[in-house]
Amino acid sequence: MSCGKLEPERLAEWVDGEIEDSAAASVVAAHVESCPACANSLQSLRSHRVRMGKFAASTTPAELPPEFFQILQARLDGIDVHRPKELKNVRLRWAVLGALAVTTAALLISLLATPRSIDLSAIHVQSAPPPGREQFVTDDPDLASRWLSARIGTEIPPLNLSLVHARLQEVFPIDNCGVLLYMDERRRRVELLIYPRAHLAERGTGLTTYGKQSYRTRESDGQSTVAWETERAAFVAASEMPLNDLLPFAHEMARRCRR
Amino acid sequence: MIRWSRSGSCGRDRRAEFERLAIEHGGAIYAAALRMARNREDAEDLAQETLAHAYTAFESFTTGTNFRAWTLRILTNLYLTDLRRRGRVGIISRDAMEEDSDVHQASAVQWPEPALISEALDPEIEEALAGLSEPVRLTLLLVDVEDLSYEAAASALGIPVGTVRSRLNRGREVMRESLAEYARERRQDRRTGAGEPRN
Repeated sequence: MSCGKLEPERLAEWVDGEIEDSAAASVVAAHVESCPACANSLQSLRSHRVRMGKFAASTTPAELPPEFFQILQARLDGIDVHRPKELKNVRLRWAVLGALAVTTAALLISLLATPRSIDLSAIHVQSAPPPGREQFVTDDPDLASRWLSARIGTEIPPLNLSLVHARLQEVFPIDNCGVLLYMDERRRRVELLIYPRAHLAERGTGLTTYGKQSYRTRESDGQSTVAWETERAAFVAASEMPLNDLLPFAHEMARRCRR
Repeated sequence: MIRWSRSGSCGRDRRAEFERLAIEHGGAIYAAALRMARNREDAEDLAQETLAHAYTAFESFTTGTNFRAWTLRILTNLYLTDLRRRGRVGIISRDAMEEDSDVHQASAVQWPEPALISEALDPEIEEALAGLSEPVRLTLLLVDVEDLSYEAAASALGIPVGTVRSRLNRGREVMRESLAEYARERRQDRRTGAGEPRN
């Protein structure tokens, strides 16, 4: 292909618009005019660029999956939450501290009124369903919640977790608790434990605000827990994934728990 | 309907600016991820990771500059990191990047099935690209498909501009041969009437 006087890479640079110096570009142009081999290569390069351009146009933009931006938004929220904050405005700082105090007080009051409390320090990520327990494999979270309700003997809140960015793998009951087992895209396990008519004990956990919701969180020994409550149940998401990853995931679960 | 509601400590305006850019370029970023990863699941993860990384580093992005090129660099970096993590490092390590001796696809490496971007109007291009070694394929994707400059592609791949130049030359030559071969096969098929219904 090469005529020996002009390097093929140089010709390609010219076609790709990489030669900014006009005098240098003119040298290439003049050579191509007088060299049939390089003119042939030029033709071939241009055809290649045109065809690749059409290929690019035919595949761009690609249609995004339906939940793409919702998932992204949850991730951006997570990044914002964990970004160091600079509260220079003293009034704003007091307002935030006040809001935190009120939230904490409200949570404490709700805990005092708890008929039964869940000790979060006792939550561990299960390596496998406990032996002898009934187990049910489904991809339908509503079916899972109905199945769990029947096994536990108490109605657990209906769930709609189908849009959570993870796949429901298994569902199994433990005592008065139902467990939904998810796997995220990196095949990291997330267990969602559901305690009907229970409240959370706060021991060993911190209070984290995410979105408009407060969560009890803990990260220790390579395990993370994120806990929250509704009027009818206490939820605990437990995983070996870091808290930074688990929190947006749990937030999405909490959002999708119907009341 | 996409609803962006919150803004955080990145700054309300900055978050809004990022969201606007993410919506504007999301489809192009996903398309680039699809062409790199060649399957939808990995491409979606890659595009999500890219935009999350971009948001984390958004303070360093200058408004008015090329957001797509900036995110493509992040995307390429993440893709290469993932390849290394998955053990496909044999042909993708920095040393291999420099040497770059093997233009054709290393046979020992298992890749996803080709032609997974089913909407592509030119499956022959996809097939010809799939026949290239990963470093060369990525270089052609960035320059010929994404239309990055040599310098931007070199920066994204973490290699010298000279290596981009030589990879392009060899990759395009291999593609030219592959495409000529497909054209010959098509002519042969037409002559023999292969694939056509017989009466």
